[in-house]
Amino acid sequence: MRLLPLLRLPLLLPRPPSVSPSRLFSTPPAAFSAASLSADPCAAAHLLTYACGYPPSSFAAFLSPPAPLPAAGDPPREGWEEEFGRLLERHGGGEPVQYLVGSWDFHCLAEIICRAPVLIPRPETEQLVERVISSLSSSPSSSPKPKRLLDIGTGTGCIPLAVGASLPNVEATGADLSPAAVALAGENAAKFRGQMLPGSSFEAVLCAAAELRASGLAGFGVVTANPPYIPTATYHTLEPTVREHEDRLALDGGGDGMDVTRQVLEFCASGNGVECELHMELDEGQPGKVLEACKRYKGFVGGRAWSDYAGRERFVEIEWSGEKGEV
Amino acid sequence: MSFHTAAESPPAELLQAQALLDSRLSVLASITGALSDFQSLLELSLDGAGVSSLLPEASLSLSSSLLLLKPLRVAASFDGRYDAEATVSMSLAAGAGGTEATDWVEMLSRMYTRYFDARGWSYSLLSSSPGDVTGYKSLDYEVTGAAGDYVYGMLKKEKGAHRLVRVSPFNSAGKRMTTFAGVTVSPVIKDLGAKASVPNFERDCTVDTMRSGGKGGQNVNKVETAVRMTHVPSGLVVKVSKERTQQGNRRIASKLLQSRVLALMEDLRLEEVREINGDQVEAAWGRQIRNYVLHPYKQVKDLRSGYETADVGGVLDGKLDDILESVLTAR
Repeated sequence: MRLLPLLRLPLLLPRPPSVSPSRLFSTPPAAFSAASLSADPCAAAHLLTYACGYPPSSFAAFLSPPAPLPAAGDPPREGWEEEFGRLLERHGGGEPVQYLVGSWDFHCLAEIICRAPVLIPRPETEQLVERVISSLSSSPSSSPKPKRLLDIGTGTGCIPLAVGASLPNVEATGADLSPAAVALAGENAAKFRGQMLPGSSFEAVLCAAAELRASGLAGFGVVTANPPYIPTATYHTLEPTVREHEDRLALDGGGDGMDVTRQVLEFCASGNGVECELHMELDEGQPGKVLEACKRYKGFVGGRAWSDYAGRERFVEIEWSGEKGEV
Repeated sequence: MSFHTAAESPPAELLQAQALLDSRLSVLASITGALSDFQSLLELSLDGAGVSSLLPEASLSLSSSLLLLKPLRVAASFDGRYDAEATVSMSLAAGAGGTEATDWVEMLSRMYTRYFDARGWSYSLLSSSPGDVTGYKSLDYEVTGAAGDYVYGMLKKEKGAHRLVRVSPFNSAGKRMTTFAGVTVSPVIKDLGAKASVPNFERDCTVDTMRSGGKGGQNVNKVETAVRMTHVPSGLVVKVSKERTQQGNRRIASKLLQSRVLALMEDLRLEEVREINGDQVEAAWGRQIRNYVLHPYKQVKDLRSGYETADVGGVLDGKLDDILESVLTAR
């Protein structure tokens, strides 16, 4: 009879974790199949960092057990094992890491809020931001007037926010046709307001590329865009994690992938009404076609295409005089 | 150099330098103090003063203060331009030998990280490339100590090929195998632009990302943002994957690579970047420097100082003080 309380005792004690987070990658327990950890160890490391409640930058420590655990041995958050298991499963089902952890870093901004289905900022876009920053820094700023920047298809607002956090006196507007994107960009605007340099600001407005002129938005010295550029036929071949979770409207660019791009050119050529520099990120092979398409506009001064770090020519910068109409 | 008035306090670097010199002077003071105490006692006892019972204690005190000379002798070897840098990047790379070599890299990383822990130095992983079966093909660390620790000065002589001889647990015939791992150490130069820089650096570098296959951009969403940067004239390469942003990794890579080029020029005593060639890099950083033998006898031997120890286990556990001291003070 006296044995009964003893038998019950282990059930009342807290169950110790079966493995510590740092050993998870070298000796994964059966519950997390080695396959799910090794298929994308980088993603798994980010999800584990999030589940444990560690600072996001500590993910690198999990990719190599000899490296020390972040926060010098701080215990992981209670329930981390279950949470990590859940996140791994959802990621295995195709959900992007950035949506699962709710944020991602971009350029100089730590933890931009990310939420389905708004397009997740891509690393290539950081190069676009760098180009814009370098172009604006080098132009002779004889006038003290602030630069007005319009980001078409702003999504999370990452481009104008990164520019505003890097340069002073940039008043940015981000337009998007998706209410979800505008709301999210607004949240990011509030989150990063304190990081804007003096004179720089950002606000998001609901407006499609085709409606810009009608809405009265005009007079921007800098226009940026990472428009949807996937041709409709190719859209169906995209990997599920992109196709099934990110907004189709942010990706599908119509028959040749350039429908929205043409609307952006149209705005710069006729709607904007002032001298401006246009910076766009496109798909490989599109910049050349864009430069060709620009030739019919009177306001087209010149432009050039340039490549990302992987050698793919996907960026274009174009100067506009502000003169309207076609040749 | 700004001119300080009496009201302003001196800059941090000056205070640190002063603290360092003070600590060295106090070591010398305690040694000379112990020495003169011992001498006085010895004279007294020779004069028949009956103090000979105090001699053992005074001798012990003298011996322990002489031990303090060790770090001073090591410090005296720090005559390189970047020896005082408190942050270094250290890379371990497996030589030929498959699994045995990748396992050796992991063993070396354990040795070094335990040494860093004992020294109180913090370290973070810049990038890693796991081996196919176990261990790592390469590991890159950034190590930071306190100002005055001379982290680069302490670790600079670790550059070169480290040789392991043992019965391989990965060889079914139980053969004794020899394998190599390459270690490179470079300072991460603080105040890079102000202190030193490589002319036309950014222009002479190429950057590539791990996303070269496939379409990129909106077509994919991967969290891998590693950047590999190559300084074309010297052929030096750095890979960084510790940040969540490509831009962040690129910035770190640029700083590390520029520091690495400058350190190479310092090692080879070159004035101009264009004087660097691949053979020189190999000669400077590829030389065999230390053997770790586990079978049929146990020995670690450094080929530069000749230092030997049978305590291989201790060395691989991070007990590097004696070896480092021997190498740094060897002439």
